[in-house]
Amino acid sequence: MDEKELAAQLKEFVEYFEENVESTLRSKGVSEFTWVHASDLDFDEVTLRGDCASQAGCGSSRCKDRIDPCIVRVCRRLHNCASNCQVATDCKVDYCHGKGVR
Amino acid sequence: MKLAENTECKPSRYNFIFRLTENPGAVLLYNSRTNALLRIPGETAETVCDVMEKKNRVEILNDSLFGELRAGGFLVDRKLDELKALKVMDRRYRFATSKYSITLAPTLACNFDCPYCYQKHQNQTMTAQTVANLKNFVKHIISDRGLSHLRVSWYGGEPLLVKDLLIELQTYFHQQCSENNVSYKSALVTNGYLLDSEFAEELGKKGNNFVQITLDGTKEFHDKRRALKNGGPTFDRIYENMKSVAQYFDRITLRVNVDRENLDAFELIVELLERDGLIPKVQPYPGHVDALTDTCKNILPRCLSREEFARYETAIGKNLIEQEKDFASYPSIGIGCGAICDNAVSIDPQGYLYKCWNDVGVPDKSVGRLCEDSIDFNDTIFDWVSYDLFEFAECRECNFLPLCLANCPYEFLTNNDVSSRCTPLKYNLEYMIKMKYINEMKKLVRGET
Repeated sequence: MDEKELAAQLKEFVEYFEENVESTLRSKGVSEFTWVHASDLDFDEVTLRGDCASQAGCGSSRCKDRIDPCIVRVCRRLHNCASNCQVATDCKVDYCHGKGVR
Repeated sequence: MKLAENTECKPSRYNFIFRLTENPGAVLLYNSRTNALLRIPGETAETVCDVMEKKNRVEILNDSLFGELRAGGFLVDRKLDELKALKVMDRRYRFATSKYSITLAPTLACNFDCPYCYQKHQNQTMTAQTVANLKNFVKHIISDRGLSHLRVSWYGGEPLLVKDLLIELQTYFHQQCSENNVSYKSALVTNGYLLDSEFAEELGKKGNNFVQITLDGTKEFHDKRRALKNGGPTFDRIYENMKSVAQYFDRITLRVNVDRENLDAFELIVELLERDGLIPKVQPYPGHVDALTDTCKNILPRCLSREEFARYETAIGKNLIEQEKDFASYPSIGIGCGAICDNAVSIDPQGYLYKCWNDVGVPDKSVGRLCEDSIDFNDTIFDWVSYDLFEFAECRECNFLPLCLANCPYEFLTNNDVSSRCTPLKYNLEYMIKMKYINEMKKLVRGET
């Protein structure tokens, strides 16, 4: 398949999908915008979310065992780290304490 | 960090706007520095696009929209130099002292005879002296570098030809890390032929959470290409092994090698995995077969170019989504290849050190060697670790730069192939983003997110 042919097929595919998705989103209460993938960065602009664990240098063995970047990514949304984890207690980044804009 | 008011913000230089329909309608905003992706519906889209394209002022955005655009990095502090921030992020990862990654080839021997292999398989297994030096080295980096994370990738040759040695070393690393409160994880890259349950269980218990296995398609095709040295078939045994060991690991990544000869291989494998209920524990991805080293130069005519492979990936994504199958591909940012990181090294059975997996087993290309009490690096290491896309004016100006930082530097550093500095996403970013969008929206509609 050459590039033009693929581009045409994709255009048609995306437009067909879009015809229906807007009303579906509205029926689910989504109106102004929809997050497909949240930012991978912390608000310090230079740290990937989830990497705070190693940088905070937490001394708790519980955290050392459990926190890896993937798990902290979950904490970002649930703020579990704020209540359960020494890393989060030490961390001054807003989202850890549930104080960020997200 | 306190967030700026909207008057203090400007559009990011790394924004991409992808229109979903030709008529004014919803748009996707993607930012290559933060990797954020946001859908803006039709009635707001033009306003947002005007701000992003600097045709209108940030102040016209309502608070809620402003907050989201700021959170995604589509709007940044007016004073922020994003290029500098990106550079700091790159340096932070490449030179962090809290982490260390080791790729270990305990043997260079292999039980397969794949025609496209880039290694000259030598019948070489790690000597007792190299094992002792390696243990000393790991002990040293754990105690002296203040390490918090150690990662090991088992590699070869075929590492499972020396299972006892692998378990001996895995046990040692796991124990050292445990005693020193360091997180230890390992990954195993294997052809899968010798991966039995007993071994998998033991390895999994000692911190190996990830395995990569390779297939070249379904049985008929795979057995022609990935055969044993005596020509014997391998597909059935690999597939059965994969099914029985999946329970011991967090994830098995299944690389499906693709070139001009087997363009249908990936979709056939996805079908098979779905039939057997192996997805998502087993995650397949299409692997680009490339003639990287002198050893495999002869396969070049059948390899897809980077651009062709990008087009192939796009078409695959569309087909999978049309069949209501998950399409997980999305750009990754921030983590450069270990070859250019100061905190990563590959080690061969003789204790020679390399920056790139492609060079393992070729001492002339080594960057040093393990000694009894230390590492003896040579000057070649500087060629790799000093690699810096920020030195190139065209890269500094390019809004793909954050994605290129995670790109393979091998062809540029060894063959001076300037085009290889760019991410293959340069050819298909818009399509891949739209595929991701449709995939996620379908999940949302199905109530899966």
